[in-house]
Amino acid sequence: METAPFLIEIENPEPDTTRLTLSGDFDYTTSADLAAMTPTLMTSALRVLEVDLTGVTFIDSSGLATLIHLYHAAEEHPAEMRFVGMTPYIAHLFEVTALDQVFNLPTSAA
Amino acid sequence: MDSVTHAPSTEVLRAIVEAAADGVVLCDADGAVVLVNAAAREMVPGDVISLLDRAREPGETYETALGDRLLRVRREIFGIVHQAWYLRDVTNETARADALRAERERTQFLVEAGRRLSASLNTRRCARATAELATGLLADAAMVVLPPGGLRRTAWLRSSDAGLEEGDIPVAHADQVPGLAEALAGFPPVPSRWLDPHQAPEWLLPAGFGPVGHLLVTPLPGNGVPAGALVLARREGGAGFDDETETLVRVFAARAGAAISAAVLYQEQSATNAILAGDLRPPPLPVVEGLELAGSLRSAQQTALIGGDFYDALPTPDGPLVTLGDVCGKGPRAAVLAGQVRHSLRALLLLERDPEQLMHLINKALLSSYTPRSHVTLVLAAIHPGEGVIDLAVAGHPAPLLLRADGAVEEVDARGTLLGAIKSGAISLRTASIELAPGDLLLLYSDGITEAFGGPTGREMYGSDRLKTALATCAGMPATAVVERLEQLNSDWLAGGVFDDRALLAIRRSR
Repeated sequence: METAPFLIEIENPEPDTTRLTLSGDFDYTTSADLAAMTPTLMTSALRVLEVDLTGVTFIDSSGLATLIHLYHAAEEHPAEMRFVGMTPYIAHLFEVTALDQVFNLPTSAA
Repeated sequence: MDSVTHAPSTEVLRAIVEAAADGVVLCDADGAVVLVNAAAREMVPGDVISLLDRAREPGETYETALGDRLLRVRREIFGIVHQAWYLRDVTNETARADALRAERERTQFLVEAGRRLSASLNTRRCARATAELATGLLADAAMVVLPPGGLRRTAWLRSSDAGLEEGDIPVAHADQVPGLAEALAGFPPVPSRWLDPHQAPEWLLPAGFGPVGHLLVTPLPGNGVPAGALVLARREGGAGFDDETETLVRVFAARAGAAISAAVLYQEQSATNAILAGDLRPPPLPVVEGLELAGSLRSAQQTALIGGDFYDALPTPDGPLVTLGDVCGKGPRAAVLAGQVRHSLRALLLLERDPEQLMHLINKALLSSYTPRSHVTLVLAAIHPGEGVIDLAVAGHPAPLLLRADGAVEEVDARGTLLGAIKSGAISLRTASIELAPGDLLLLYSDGITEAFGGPTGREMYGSDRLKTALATCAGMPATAVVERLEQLNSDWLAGGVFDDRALLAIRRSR
């Protein structure tokens, strides 16, 4: 099986806002990148963390765990973590794992 | 000066021959020596005639020893009636050629050693290759003594013209071979000439080997720890171990030691993985009156990817509790976590049988776990066999599917939060209670089934719709056949592609 490369893009649309745009296969082999990056994202100015999953083609349990870890890190910081884009596949996955009741999800995709 | 008719004059011949850089001995037609030039006189201070092999044909070349020198001699017709013997001292040339040949032989040996030693991650095969490689070029008999596995005995493999032999010796017997105990402890080798070959004990050599002339004991250096020792023996009367050979043996031992210690490490790891994976292996399913239970668990192929799918059927006085789950991550950590969940469930079941309560308890247990990211998805199904009622709780896991006897497929309306994930400890669960009529079947599955990548493009997910469609074709089939069929259809979809763990478990009410 050929896998789509996992990419992380980081932007700062506002001084207190960081947007992460993830794309590709977010799984056991690639989730370590985001996990390692998580502490460095929690800058003192950070108030809002936006996560765009529109380009993510696959998430496994390790990918989900990394998102949960990111969510907890933001909560402790404290900063608000919002999902700003996702495919129906990921929305379904969040529903199955009941994470839709924990995360802030975009109303359009949920 | 007289005119020359048949042959050049002696003066002319002398002038030509003396000018030659090679040694030249000139004979007349009767074989009497006419001339010996300066180069030949220098090369052969004594009797030159004894070096001339008159049996040789003109044009022939041969080599002959003269003291510690080596001369190359060529017989030629010279002019019309004379015979010439050309002499050249090739001692240095030959020595260089011999050195080059020996060097090539050593290089070839190391290349072959590298090829054979890297071909296996099995300790015994690596030790065997080491012993076999060393026999021939390096010694008449070669024994690899492996590092002691326990406290008492240590294994050895030996190669010689008697073939390959293996056995073990008490660790204490290593003291009987000069230098062996030191080599096994990883001390640098001592030169062969310091070792008394007559002290070699009988067990060191194959039966009928004869007296040992030379012994060389070399440690096999591993990754930080000694990987055993190599004992080489040559028969009495044969050549000893020279400096070049001892150096070659050390280089060879370094390669062999690295290969053996890598194999030892690999085997230890595989054994650990096998133990861990064994804890994930599904147990035999119980026989329950009026019910059929069937399961299938296909683990990801790579050992390093021991996955976290598991299932169990735990008996309780009120009927079995069936569980199917998936722990986050891969490898030994996932295996340990899955084992913890299974054992926790077994213990909790002594106090609590309600699936919803069990979910809360396991969630709390996971949140207090020392292992970070102990996330688990789980389905718990408490079966009341008499009435065919099943109480279901689902946490972070795909909802089970219900196949009615008429072929209708429904998704059970139960869901809940991934366990061990949300720090506050609050999980939301929507449980369900379903009733199986005779012929109905409940299917529990892991996301490895629906997330199997394959199909015509190789990049398409199997998906829950395909699973439901496949399940609908299974109405009326026994539980075992349903599981086999779904597993087969899913494997066809994968078409040999890489897969994650895939678990299926069917509960069917037979009457």
